[in-house]
Amino acid sequence: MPYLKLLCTAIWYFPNLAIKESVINEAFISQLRSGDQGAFKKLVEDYQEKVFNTAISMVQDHGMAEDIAQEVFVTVFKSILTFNAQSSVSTWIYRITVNKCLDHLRARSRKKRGIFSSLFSADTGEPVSGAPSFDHPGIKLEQRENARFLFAAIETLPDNQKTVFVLAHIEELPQKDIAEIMNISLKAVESLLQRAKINLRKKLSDVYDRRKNN
Amino acid sequence: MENNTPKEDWISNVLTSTQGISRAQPLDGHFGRIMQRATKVGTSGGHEIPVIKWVAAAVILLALNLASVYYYSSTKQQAVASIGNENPIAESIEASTTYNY
Repeated sequence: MPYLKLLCTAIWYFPNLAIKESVINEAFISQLRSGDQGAFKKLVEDYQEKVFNTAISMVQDHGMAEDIAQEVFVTVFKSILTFNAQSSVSTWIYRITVNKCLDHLRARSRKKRGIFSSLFSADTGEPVSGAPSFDHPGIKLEQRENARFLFAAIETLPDNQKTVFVLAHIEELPQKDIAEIMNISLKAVESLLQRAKINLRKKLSDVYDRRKNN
Repeated sequence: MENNTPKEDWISNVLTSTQGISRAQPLDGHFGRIMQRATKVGTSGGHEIPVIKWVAAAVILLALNLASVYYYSSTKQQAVASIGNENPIAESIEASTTYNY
């Protein structure tokens, strides 16, 4: 265990691995590592909106997003000693958030398979009747109805396309950051984003046709 | 192409409906709840086994114990009975024994 600490410290002080963000600097991380509650409170204040917004956009459930946000910061609190600064704190926290969201989504789909109602059938991907109901709290009032259709379509995307789309279009992160968060290449991010848009267009086209026929 | 225009417009509007989105905020007292949770995880070692699992394990162990006690006591009775009924040496000893009262 002392060797691990020594190794972490050595990695931490290696000059090429400096943290990019100005707010979260070495001293701040040291404070976090020493268990400074004030430093941890500042970290929560700086990141809670980013974490919560990502979570609510991915899981589309206020209660679950609250739960995920808490879990993310508890994980950060527990594992700050092993954080090796190869990526920025922001990337690290986003990565934990995305992983927690995907875990919760998988657990929910296992639990509710067959009874979970959606704008699209879980089996066939075909649109089903019924209006989408999720309202993202940050959407402008005049866009709320359209956004409901968008979120219902996002829900049907595969995990990696959903993650890329949410990080790019709702969190508005640069593709380079998304690549770091998801640990994939920049080209892979571009490709996933492209496929996500194609799939969304296809699903929304089906919804439009169905609404027109009804 | 003209027939597709309203549809394409609608799809474009839906796809751009998140433009200008503001970040959703968690409920008040978020930090307090996190600290409460972190403390709970810290004190319990992070791997708390629910009470129901302890109860289930205890019931299973008790059932196994009772089953084994019942099984061994019944097989022992059978063994004693078979020795008494079928062993010729035991029968001859029983027959030749003279009781002095």
